[in-house]
Amino acid sequence: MSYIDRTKGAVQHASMSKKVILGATAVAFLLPLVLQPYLAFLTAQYYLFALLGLSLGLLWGYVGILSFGQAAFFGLGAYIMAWSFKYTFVPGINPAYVALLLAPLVTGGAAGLLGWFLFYSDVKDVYFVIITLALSVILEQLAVSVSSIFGGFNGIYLPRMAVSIPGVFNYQLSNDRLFYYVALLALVGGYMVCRRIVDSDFGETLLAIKENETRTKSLGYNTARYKTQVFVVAGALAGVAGALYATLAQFVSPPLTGFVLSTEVVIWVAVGGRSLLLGAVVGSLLVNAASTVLSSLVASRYILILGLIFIAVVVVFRKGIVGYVADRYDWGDKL
Amino acid sequence: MVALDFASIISQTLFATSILIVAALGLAIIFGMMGVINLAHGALITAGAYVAYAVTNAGLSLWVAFLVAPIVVALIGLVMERTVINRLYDRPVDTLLATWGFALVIQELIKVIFGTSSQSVPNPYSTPVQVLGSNLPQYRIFLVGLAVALLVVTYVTFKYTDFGIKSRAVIQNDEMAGMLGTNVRFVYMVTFMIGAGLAGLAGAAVSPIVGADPRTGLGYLVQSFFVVIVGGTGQLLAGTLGGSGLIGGSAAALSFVSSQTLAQTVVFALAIVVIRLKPEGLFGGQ
Repeated sequence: MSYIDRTKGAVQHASMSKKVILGATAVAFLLPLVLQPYLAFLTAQYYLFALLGLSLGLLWGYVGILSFGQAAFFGLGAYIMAWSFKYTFVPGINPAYVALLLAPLVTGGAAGLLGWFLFYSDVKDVYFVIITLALSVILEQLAVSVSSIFGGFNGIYLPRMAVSIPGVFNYQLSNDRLFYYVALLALVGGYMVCRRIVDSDFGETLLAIKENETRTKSLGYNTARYKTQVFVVAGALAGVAGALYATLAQFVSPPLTGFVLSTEVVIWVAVGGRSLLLGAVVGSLLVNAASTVLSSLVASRYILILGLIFIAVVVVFRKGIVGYVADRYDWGDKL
Repeated sequence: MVALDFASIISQTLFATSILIVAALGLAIIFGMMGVINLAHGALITAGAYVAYAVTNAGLSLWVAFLVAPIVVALIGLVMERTVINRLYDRPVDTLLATWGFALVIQELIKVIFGTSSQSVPNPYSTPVQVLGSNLPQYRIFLVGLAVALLVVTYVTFKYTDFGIKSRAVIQNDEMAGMLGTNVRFVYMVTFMIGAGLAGLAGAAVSPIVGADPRTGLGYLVQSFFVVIVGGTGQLLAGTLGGSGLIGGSAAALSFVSSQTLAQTVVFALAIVVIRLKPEGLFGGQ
């Protein structure tokens, strides 16, 4: 195959990838026309979980950082939204706007601190997994025990956010179909941010770190800085997802920060396909949708089935669903 | 309000350390010998606690459970190793993920078989004894003895038995050991079974104190990992002993001055700092 043919192939692949993404987005935009309000509410929830999954997909698939504590950032973002409504940090300004600005700053900042602390001393692989896992356990414990701030087991209630321009209009998004679009925009926006990152030179270096960190380092790249930076982005994305989730569900409680959700995200991403951004998104959507359907059909056996599927994916089906389909139908890898 | 007397601080610290030694030893052996992160360790402890519940519920003594639980759970370990883990020895992160899958499966199977509510297991030594003027629960003293006995047995097994020598050869250089005629896969399989069996024993051992609950093992899982990582795997026994003392002992000691959750949070945070500063563990090296 000549160089030109190969380039042509790559271009065709890229355009195929683009078509798939655009098609999926178009379907998602039209979906509320046929969805019952309650289903729109559920789907909006799934989109925000998918944004959380995407944050892990970026880390795991493109840098090889497996975080077992991504829910800690999600939960922190959720609590920031709740606190913003409860304490009105900036009087006169829509508390949701404040939270949506504050959440990525705080969660991204926390991720930056943690990344600086861990990556610069070369903590990686299983050690990184254990530490991130412990962090979400710690945060959940704190949220349960420090009830004056976190509301303890009872959690904190908050209203649905409003979109407003001061003096012009103020419209509360109590309609679930409208909030659906907020969640969808957040997910599409998050995807575009990740896409931009992985397609850039920066992303190329991230892939090099994933393939062989020692070699990348010896080529003169400050790999710890790269890893910290992408960890910040992922933390901020998870924080935004959490903040929107809080005002969608109108309730936050300690499990949002915790161990169980953190490990579930890993399962979503693995099932969808850990090496593609779309895999993380689709995996999150599918597993969550399946959990809603199956838990009404087989009740408690659902987690048993999920566990078995997860083992199978890890052992023999490593590409995940999207990875497999994309290979089968030549969708390229810019998904 | 617990009186701040010296004897009770010492004894609580000692108990917490012993329980963690019992809980973490199986994990330390599997991680130290095979480099496998067994996230199912907590679920295996839970399984051990439920075996103890089933045995005592059938009218047999807890001591029977101390025999049955390690065997049953070692067999669960055997199934895990034969079906999945042995395919993944060259993919450490995937091993970790697969064991998490097993953790979910085991935990849910327990719920299916025993229900979701927690069960209590009778305590064979319920009367407290007087030691140095303070009342100590007898069963906890027994646990201290069990921890010491397990450390001694592990030391002797890996230092002097044929299997122990082979397995240390496999850790040092598995290819070389294989070429010299050691069946490396067999050593891995037995090691995994021993680690799982120890988790089962730990579950049976803690069951009279904490009962049997689908979530019993989860708390021990995270603590055990800190024990292993803070202690380091270079020196298996010193690491487990030291790690347990630091994680369990200091949390117990701190809980005299603050709430238990806060004490544990502080200890976890300190442990993370230790890992950052000494990634090979406090008792690392060979």
